[in-house]
Amino acid sequence: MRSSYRAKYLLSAMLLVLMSMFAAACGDDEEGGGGGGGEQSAQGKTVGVIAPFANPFQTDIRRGAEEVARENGVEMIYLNYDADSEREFRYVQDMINRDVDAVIYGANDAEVSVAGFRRINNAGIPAVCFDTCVVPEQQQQLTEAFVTSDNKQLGNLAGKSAADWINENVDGTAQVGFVTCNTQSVCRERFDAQLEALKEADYEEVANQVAVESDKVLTTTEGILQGNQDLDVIVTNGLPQTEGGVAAINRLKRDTVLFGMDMTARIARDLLDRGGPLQAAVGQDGPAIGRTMMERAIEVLEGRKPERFLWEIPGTLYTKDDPEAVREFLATTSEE
Amino acid sequence: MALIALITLYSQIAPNFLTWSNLTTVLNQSVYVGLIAGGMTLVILAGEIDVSVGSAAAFAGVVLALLLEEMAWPLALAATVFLGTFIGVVAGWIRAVFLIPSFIVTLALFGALRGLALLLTDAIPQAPEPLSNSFFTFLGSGKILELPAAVLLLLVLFAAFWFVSTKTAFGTHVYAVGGNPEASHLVGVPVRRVRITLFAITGGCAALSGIVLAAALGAGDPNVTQGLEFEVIAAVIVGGTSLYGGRGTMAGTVLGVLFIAVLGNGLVLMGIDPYANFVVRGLVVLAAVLVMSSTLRDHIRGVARRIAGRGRGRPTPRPTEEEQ
Repeated sequence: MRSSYRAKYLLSAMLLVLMSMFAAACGDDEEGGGGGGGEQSAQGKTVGVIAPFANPFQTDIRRGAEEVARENGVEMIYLNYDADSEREFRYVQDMINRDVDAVIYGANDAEVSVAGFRRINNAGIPAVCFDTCVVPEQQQQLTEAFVTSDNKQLGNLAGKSAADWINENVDGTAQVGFVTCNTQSVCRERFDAQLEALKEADYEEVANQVAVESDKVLTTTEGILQGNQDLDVIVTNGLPQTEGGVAAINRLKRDTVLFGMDMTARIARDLLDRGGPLQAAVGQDGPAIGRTMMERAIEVLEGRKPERFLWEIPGTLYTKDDPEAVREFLATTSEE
Repeated sequence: MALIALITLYSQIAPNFLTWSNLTTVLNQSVYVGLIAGGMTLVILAGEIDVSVGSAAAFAGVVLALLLEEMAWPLALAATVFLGTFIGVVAGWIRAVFLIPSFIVTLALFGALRGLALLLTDAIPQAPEPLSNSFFTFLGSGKILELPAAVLLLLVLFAAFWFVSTKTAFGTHVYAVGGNPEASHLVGVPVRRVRITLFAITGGCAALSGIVLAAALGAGDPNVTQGLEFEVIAAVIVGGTSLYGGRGTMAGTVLGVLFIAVLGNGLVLMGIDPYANFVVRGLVVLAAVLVMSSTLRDHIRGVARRIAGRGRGRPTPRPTEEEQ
């Protein structure tokens, strides 16, 4: 009696285990995970996008990604953690809990965000990084592809443009101030490239301040201008730095010029202002980054491996001397 | 005292600090904090707090920019101030009627208004043409008799707040509510109405600050004024207003606002490392509050008395009840 009860119990337990294994196998097939090898459709699947912050460039990226997601019948969930690491990890966990099929993730910091990508990996979810990724030695282990602006090229274009202006317009050593977003690794990369390109000019760095939001940039740049009455050039490496810097120079009515980063309708109008301080700005191609990253995520969902790991999207230099290109940008930007 | 010490120090070590041009820049930079600090002083005097003002200012800048696309600028301006005040009324009403702590109510607004500003703009700063018209250009960077126009607005507002806090029944009620709300209620102070009015005032002030900032930047940017609420609260506390309510003056807040603006300006003029800048700011504000702390002053006086007593070979006298 007792042994028959034990047998029934064991049989039931074995059946339960077998049924669970069968269900799990079916589930894997349905979700197409685990690299089964065969090509599947991404239609009906969900991709989570974790963006580092909200600004016009990120909005352009989002629009590009949404366009490709819509074309392929993929649902896209978008979250932005406002450069806050605590919120970043909370959103990573939310995406895992939501059981998304792939995550596209812009790292806040190359080292700190490794933990976030690792969590996604441990949950068996494939990840693509965009804009900023983890440290190079971890990138290919933790992610399927990395889509970003060519930040070295962006920094180089802005730095070279400033160097050319100094060589043509300043006798002797130029005084240069930097207003940066260097708390983010992507900004530091651009900044290093700007410094490298500026080596072609004779200049002295008289100020270097970090200010992230445009109101802080306004007050910080005003302080730099007041502290350095002979400042010739300000170089910036992000959008709020460029917009706030131009506002500060205009408010103090100084003849300092500015070389900046990112293109918006407003920056385009500043470039078209003949007497204005902005001489050049390097535009990133947000929609192309958004489209490319979503295409890579869909490839992964379809069981295909992206043809290469790094996708660097080049930027474009817009200058005061080429108003036609600026007008063309204004005519095509989604803001107008 | 702390402000004079800071100005004296900067005049020696910060290049171009004591130039007229830089001093007007400092005044201009104090406007965004100052426009809210007067209202915040009243709120803190009443034993309340409003942490939503930074988000409310960003929201107001965005609303103004969007309304300018749709209507004449005076109308857009009035509608923005009205909306800011109305949001304050709602926050005050929730606080007063449901007795939910003001920190919680305004914390909810802090997130909601920032989110709304981002949602309305898709995070893109809005720069409508009218924001560059002569009125807004004048408000953002114009001058009257060499003084920034926005600073004059700030002075008028502070004068009004000084009058309200010292010469009106409402001002007396604010101090009374901050001292003891239950007792105030028992003697007939309309505590509920006072609280609602206070949050309406900070809502309107935050809207004004957002409008002036949008005029200076030439855009309504949803990402600006992050942390502004803490700068405003720091200015009020540095100005001597008790965070527990019932004690403080508008004149103290004016000095607190100037202290915060001068502190930030000098650090940039000196080219202090940007990361060290945050540390120095925090420590100096803490030091300024400690210097003004009556508890610390009493403690130092007690220590000095004990040392003096020991020097004379007499036992340290115990403080009397009155001294305690």
